[in-house]
Amino acid sequence: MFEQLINGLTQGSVYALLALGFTLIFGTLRMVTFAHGEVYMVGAYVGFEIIRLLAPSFMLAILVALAATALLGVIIEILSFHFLRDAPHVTSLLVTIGISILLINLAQLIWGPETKSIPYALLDQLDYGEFEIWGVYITYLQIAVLMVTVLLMTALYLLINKTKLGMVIRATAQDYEAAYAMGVNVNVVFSMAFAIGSMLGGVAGVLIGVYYNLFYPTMGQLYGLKAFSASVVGGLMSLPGSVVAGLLIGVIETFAVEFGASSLRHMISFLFMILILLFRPSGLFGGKELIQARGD
Amino acid sequence: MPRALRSILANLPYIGLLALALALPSLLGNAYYIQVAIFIGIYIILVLSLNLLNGYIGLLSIGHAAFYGIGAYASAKLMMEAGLPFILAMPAAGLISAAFGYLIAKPTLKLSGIYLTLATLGFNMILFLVLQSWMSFTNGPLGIMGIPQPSLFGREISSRPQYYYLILALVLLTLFSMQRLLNCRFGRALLAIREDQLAAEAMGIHAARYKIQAFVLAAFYAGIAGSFYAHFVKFISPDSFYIYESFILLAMLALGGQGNLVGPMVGAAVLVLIPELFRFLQEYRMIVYGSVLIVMMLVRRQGLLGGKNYSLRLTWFDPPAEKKYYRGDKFLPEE
Amino acid sequence: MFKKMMRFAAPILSVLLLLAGATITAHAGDSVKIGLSAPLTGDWAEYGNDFKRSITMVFDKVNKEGGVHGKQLQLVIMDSRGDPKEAVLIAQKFVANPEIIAEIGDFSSSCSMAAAPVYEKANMTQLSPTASHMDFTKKGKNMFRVVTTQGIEGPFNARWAVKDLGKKRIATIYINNDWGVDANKFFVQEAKKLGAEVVAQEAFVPGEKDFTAILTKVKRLKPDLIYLPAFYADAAAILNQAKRMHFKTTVMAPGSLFSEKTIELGGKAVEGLLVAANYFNTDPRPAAQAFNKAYQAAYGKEPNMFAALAYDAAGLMVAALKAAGVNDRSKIRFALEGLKDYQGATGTISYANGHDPEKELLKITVKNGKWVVYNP
Repeated sequence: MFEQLINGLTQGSVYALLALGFTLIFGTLRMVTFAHGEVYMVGAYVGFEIIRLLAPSFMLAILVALAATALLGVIIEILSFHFLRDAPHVTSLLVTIGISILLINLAQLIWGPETKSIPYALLDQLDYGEFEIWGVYITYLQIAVLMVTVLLMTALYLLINKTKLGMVIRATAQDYEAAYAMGVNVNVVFSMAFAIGSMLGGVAGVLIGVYYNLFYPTMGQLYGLKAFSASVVGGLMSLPGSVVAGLLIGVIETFAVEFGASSLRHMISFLFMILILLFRPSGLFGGKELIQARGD
Repeated sequence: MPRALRSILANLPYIGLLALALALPSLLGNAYYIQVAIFIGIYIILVLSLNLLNGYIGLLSIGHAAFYGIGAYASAKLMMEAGLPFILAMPAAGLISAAFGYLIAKPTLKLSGIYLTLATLGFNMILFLVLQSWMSFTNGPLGIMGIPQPSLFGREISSRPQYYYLILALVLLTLFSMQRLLNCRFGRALLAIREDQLAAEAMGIHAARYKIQAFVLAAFYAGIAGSFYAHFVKFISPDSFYIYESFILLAMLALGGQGNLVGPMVGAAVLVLIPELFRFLQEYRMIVYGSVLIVMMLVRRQGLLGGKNYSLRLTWFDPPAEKKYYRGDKFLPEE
Repeated sequence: MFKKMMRFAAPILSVLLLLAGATITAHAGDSVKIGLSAPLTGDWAEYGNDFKRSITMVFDKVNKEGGVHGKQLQLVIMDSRGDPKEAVLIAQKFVANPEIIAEIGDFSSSCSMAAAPVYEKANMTQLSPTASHMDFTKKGKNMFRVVTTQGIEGPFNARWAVKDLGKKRIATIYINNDWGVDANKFFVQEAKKLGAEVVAQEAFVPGEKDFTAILTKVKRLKPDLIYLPAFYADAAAILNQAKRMHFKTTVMAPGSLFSEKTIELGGKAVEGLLVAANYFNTDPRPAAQAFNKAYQAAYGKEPNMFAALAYDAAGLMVAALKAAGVNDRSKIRFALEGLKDYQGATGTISYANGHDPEKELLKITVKNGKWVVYNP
């Protein structure tokens, strides 16, 4: 049981990391993006290339992936939101779907359709050891993934709630026209929020990519949708909510495998999402306030 | 001019189009082209049903393929196991699909629209996973094979042109019923809700009820399309009803233009044709598809034909409508 | 101004593009066309591209030697994305084109079977390298396959595991798609018949990469053998994660895992993996060696089982065309049935007693990071 709990938390932190990005983007732009899973994929491939070609260093891989996904985030924001701010929600949604299709197929052209992995000679240099508690082997990488998730969530929470920049983001999220009237450069704020959200996806890509050591063009699809449901369960606007929801979904999934048919595990996150929508629409920790999408 | 002649003249373009549609199989000749035409027909019904939600009442469903899939599986199962004849199985499949639509719409529509949108996504994913793992009922990823071909009034429908005329009849039925529906109180109410829900409610329109009705109706049409698909391809598997199918439907709607009945048809036709025409590009094909989607949304966000309100009415049925034009996403009286 | 222009230009441009697409038609001449329907994009893209590589290689060679009956072979490739609906459309397109004389594909059973009625009606031969579902060749008189069915491979593996290796507690972890479900079913049936206890049958959806939950459960049940109907990336993930949790047991898998990628991705974790393969790259038979050399020369890498099956499909097609001529679709089927002991890279193939070839499966294993013949 303890072992399954650890498995669940590791799996859950993947969802949580991706859900954080979703939540930040939706919270600020009031827009659902379907390209988030592909941002994660791009982050993973960038990390893969850095480790393979430059140096087997986590820090370097993450830094470059951060820069790449931030840039990608800005591009996606400009394409899907900047020109379409007064358009119906579906228009932005479709642009993100188009971007997602484009990114998957470009990745297939660049890296080929097959699954790639970091050669073991290099991977061993990253050297993540392991330790044993109660008969369960835990790698340091697993701990790192979990720690990074919590750390990023805290940092983001502080950024949004305690800094001036956070105040600007919150103001823009609430009413961008009013924020604009108060002298906020809303264009920059939107781009920045999207970039930060995408960077979270990029970090997740590097960490998870190296953890499983499997890189393939469609790697973001299932995780993107799962993270999306975690974000909804968390309330779509709440950063701690999405982390808790992500971890919870991960744990419930592993226990579902333990006690039932393993083929049902993926239904859980979506079932959970629908139940939340029906009975507690503002999310696990949400208040009374309901969410409005753009043009809703 | 006598009234009858005048109305015939006024409807000449529609009569011409209908004649063209009727003559299409012999004009195309090639079975592959007829097959593509049939697929366009299926997608026209699906996109029209989605248009009912997105174009007329402003609800966004991103899981519409779920209802399409329910229709397909229900129809196949009803015919193969319950022994229902096709003429009963098809509407029954529509009704089953509509029932699921009700289950989704009823609880979520009390809240704001985004909840329905999210719920449709979740529902689509769950349905896909259920179809994939419920081996004893859906045969899982192996899919259902050997679905019987439809027969109508004692006539087996087996050749491509026969299927073509069946889907043509279904498309015309869909168009006609939607046209009637949208021009009565129901349709006006939908528009009123889309434009300003508060004002509509102040006028005594029960917004939530109309939304649910529209959603159930859309699910019904999608179920009918699913039923036809099942009996046409004769093989269904969960892959055909994954969330990406829903995205494609949305793309068709947005590309063609919404809020009228012509745009969705054009969108369906264009997005079925693009991948077909670009098949020779092999692995580059989907890149073209993605790019077209992005570029279209950026340069012409209202879609190819979203700029106008096409009347598409037969004048001997309806009194001439007052003229409207469409600006941005608002209907305004003529200035 | 620009915006306004673009507003008009974009639809016109797209229409022009469409027209351009429509008017590009392949130049007919002294050539004979074969259709290939395979997933070139999407989840199964790499296998579709394996097909493309192998078949192009065979056709190029034949064309250099003067073609078949004086005509050059031309491959018409279409992407099915692994979607049965697309496969049906492609089938219709091939059938409607009188220049196309036969078809190779699709990759998956569901695509092949969805398209089968179309080919059957047109009397066009459909030769799938890999569709292993039992019912595929029962869909009509024109359906052939190169791969051995799961009805043969599953029981073969079960006998190997239970009778030869004496395993008594078996767990399976299989991919939940059209192929994996069958592969699991036939193995489990036979294993149970032989008296082994099947302690767990765990399915995972394609795209899943976290197997720790399944493995933790399976580990506690203490199986002495795990059967893995999966693809190389899944198997590499499963075995790496098992290694990480210090879970060691005998692992057996169908031929789908025979690939250099399994070792590249699996590293030390795949040591000792047992596979019953259709094809194996150090197989001493001349046909297998010829293929391996040609493929390496053309593409600079080791072929996998799927490439070998497609190579044989192309070879069989060429042999059939030589026998039947290149003018009549309906003759290809009889030509294929008439082939006696065709020596393919994946074994000796003949279709005289049915359209499912019965081939000898090779027992191979991974030793010191290399695929070698299994020697108990």
